[in-house]
Amino acid sequence: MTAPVFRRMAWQGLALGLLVGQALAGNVEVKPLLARMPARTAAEEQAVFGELIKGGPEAVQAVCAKLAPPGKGGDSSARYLLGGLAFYAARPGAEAERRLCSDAMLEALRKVPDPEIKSFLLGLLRWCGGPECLAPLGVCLREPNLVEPATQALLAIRAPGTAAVLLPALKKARGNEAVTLVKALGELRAPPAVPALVELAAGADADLRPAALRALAEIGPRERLLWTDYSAGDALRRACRTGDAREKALAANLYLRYARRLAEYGARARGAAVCREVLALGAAPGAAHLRPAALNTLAAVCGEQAIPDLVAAVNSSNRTDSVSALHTLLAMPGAQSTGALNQILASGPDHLRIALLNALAGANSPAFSGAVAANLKHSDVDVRTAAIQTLHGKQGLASLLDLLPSASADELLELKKHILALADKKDLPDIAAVLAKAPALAQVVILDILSQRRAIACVTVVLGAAASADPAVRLAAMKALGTTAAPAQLPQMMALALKSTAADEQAAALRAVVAVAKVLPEAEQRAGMVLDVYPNAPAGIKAQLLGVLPELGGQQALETVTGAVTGPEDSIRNAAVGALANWPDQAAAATMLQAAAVITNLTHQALLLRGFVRLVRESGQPDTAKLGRYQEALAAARRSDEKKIILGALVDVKTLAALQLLDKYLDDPELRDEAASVAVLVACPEGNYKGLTDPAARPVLVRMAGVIKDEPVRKKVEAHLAGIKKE
Amino acid sequence: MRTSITRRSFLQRAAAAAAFSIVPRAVLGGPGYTPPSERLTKAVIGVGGMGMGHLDMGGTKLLAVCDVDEGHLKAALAKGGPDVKGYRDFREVLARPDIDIIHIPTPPHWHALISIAAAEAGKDIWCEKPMARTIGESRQVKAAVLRHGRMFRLNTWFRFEGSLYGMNTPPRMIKKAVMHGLLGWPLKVTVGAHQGFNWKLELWQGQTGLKPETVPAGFDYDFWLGPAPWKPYARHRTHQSFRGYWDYDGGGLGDMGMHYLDPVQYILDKDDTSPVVIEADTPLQHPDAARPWRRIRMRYADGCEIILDGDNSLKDAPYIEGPNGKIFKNFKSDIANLEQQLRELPEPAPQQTDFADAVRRRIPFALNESNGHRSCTLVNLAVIAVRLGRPLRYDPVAEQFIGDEAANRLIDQPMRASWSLGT
Repeated sequence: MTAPVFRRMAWQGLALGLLVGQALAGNVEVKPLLARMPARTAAEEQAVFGELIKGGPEAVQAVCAKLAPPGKGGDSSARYLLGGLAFYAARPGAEAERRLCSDAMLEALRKVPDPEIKSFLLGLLRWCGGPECLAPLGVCLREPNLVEPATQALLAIRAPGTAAVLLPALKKARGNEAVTLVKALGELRAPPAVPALVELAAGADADLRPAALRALAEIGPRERLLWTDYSAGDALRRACRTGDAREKALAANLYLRYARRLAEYGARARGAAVCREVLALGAAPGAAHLRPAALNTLAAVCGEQAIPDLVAAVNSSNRTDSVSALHTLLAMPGAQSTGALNQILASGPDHLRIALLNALAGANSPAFSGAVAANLKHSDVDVRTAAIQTLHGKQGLASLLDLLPSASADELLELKKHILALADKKDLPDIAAVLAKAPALAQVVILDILSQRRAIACVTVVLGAAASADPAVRLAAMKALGTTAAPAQLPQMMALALKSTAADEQAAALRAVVAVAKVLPEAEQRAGMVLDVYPNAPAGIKAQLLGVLPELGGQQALETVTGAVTGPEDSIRNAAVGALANWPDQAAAATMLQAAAVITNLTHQALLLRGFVRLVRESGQPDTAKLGRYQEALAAARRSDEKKIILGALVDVKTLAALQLLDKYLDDPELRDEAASVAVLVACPEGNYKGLTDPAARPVLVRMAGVIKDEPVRKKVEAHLAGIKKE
Repeated sequence: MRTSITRRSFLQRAAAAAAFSIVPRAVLGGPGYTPPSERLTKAVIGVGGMGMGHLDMGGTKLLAVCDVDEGHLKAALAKGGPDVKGYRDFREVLARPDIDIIHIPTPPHWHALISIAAAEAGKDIWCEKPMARTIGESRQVKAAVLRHGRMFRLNTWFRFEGSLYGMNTPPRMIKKAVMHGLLGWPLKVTVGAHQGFNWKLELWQGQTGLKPETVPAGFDYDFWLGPAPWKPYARHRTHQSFRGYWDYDGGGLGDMGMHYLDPVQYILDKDDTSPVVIEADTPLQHPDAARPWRRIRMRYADGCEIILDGDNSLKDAPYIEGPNGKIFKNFKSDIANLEQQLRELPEPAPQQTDFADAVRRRIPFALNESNGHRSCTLVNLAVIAVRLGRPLRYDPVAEQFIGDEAANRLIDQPMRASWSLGT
């Protein structure tokens, strides 16, 4: 009989079974239940599962009968229902329901011919199966296609006697099936499997060998009546010395796992011997990566008894071993390891001190505080920097502050990071107090810390630093004033700005003035300080003063800026135009447009028109009003570049009038492309926007279609056009 | 409130520091060695999608790329240049002694397996999120990385870098507000689209009733499946859409979960624990294909809660709230002068945010195998709650569900023959 014929017959049988199943499904019709899949809520699904279970095993089997192999029919509802049911039935306190479902699925598993469906059912039993599955799943182990899902279900269930079911199957299994069974016997830690596994571990099958070794490592020593069988270890030891480098490394790692099993078994000395063997193997070329795990396992196996080995490794000339042992020591609690580590901090080589200090960062352990403090004064900067990272609490902060005056540039950055993490508001005066005894570079860092922390209480110190002889300190102080000063200090700050001769300091001082003035509630108050000094300020600073006025705002400030737009000096005019163009509120819109209309400098006009367009876009005015403002701007614009910017802004005004305005530019060779592309966005649908459908838009769209060169865009226009009625 | 470091966490930290155990030969210097800054080398395993982005990451020298899809491999080799060698089998890459760091941007069902194999081969690891597909897998990655003394980083960065999506501020600022008690305690964090966090639940849905298709030439589907259960090939199960299938990932939770939940874990200072109660409001899930869910609630033993808003129904919820105040999207708050107050308070502890530097100096990276395991556990707890559709209780010390055998069976899931998690 050919396979297709057999499959057809099997399906016919299944269909018959389905009918019978339907009929036997108690009083429950499964079809309506399937129709409610997937349930939308927990209540809905629980109701469905409850009804299904009420129908007894026959009902569950009837649903199982609805399963189809992939691509052979829509069984999504059945898979939803059974998948949910498996989890539902396995909920706590529902053993009877779980058993009912499990039995029904096992029965379906027995009847169904298709391996994929069987595999699906086995997957369900992984969730809801119990000890009752042991024998039926054992039967599945005879079918090569089912060995894997059946074994996985058995492993999930872990019923007593599972290994006894798997072991006989291993004798007949080949290839991947055998690997699956071997893996499972290892996971179950099945000592009776050891002899068979030892044999496979020495076999020719390259897939089975590592699987068998892994299983042997998992199982560990095997206790017999009068003696202990260590043959698993012997096999692993042999494997460490056989095969290519990869196989050897794998075996060595497994041998270490076996060492842990020995320790669990109570054979710590044997376990330690295994670790030392692997440590020795790690001396071979290309095998160094084995040593950390060997040392780590040694510590796990022997506890404090491993400390002499670890100390010896720390003191070895091999830096890899040395550092590795150091960190294994660090992970070990107890006075002995702490003592050894303190010794390293006191007299170890620099690279070990750094490694240890790095590892101690964040640990806040008083056991090392003395030795750490000593390293803060070490001659090597990297050691000192590493020590900085370990400091904690108030005492740590005091140590960090002590280091500030003598710190190198690299150390200062590290110190700043850690001071910011340790200092609270109360500590800021202590930090500021260091300023007086610190060199310039450290002063810059301190000022930055005070600035970041808004150290208002330290403003006097910051103001003092602003008069420093060192330019870098002055600049840092000017910047810090922005966050540490209050409005009461504004006159002093303004005086500093006026007095300063360096451009960067002047700019920083003015930025600080703005930052402080911004807290004042009234715009006139905010700008007052600047406006007071503006008339008599030197020409050089006038431009800078104008530049900060937009941020301070107010009518008087706007008038000052407007007045300066037509002033006699280039630098002041430029600054005034920039300030006006950047004015943040609508009060400046009319002034901007007026100035743009009359100004002769084309760059100035461009800046003002761009500023005007920005304000109109942000204005929140109705579309009609916006359109009017843009028309005014177009009338004022002299160059195509500015006109393009204004036309571009029309994209926000999706009205027929805007489209008709754009239409006027379709004949202008310089503006045609811009006008057409904006018109497309105004007229045509995009996302949730349905486009302009007024018949009056038609003539414009027709003209647009004639202008647009990009074919997809033109087609979009034509498509939209087709949907608009003729007038 | 500044958290003191307990003996236990010190020992954990120390254990993490045991990751110092092997410094790459190149790092230790000595005669004949070039300075480490010029020598850190990497391989990228899995070069479709995200993998191409990894070719340029980290400022290290790319030596090898690996993929089971010939098309991906060709594209990566073309981008990588003439010094880069291509591989089909990642085990050959791990056997190369000249590679320091292994990048793992494969689909998530490979993350743990390759991470552990890399640790055993003495490599440092840069793994894509999620760290692993199950709680058991990430637990084993953590153990292997510590045992073998490796450096590990996850490829999500919001706990230490850049703005936290819709908050427009780094999580450090929110952590500061939390650690100094400005919000009070316990806290509730709501993560959802309204605050700017897109779970991508609709995007990463699996399809049901897929018809078997022919495997494209040049694509080794069996190897792509690797440890995952065998299913007939269907294109939708693989490249670009695999996240929708439980066998390979956890839908939108798998993709975005660690991005959004790891910063929450950092903010709440929960790097060494996990929630004790997990509940999901969800439609019934398909046993194979992930579907969107509505809401997930996770509560820690101290009463802190994380709400995952999947259907954007909590539009008015703050991102984080406590008895003393709330912080909303864009870092808006009902706490007067919050930003000014924060500026006057100590910063959270500095973090190691440069992985190459972490490798050179053997300092654990900010998001490493230990805290990464816990934030990946958040994702996988959520996935299990969604799949089971019932409230779950979890023991964060034993890392087991309490009284729910089916849930515990989802903690460790079997792998196909030939594939095991390390030794």
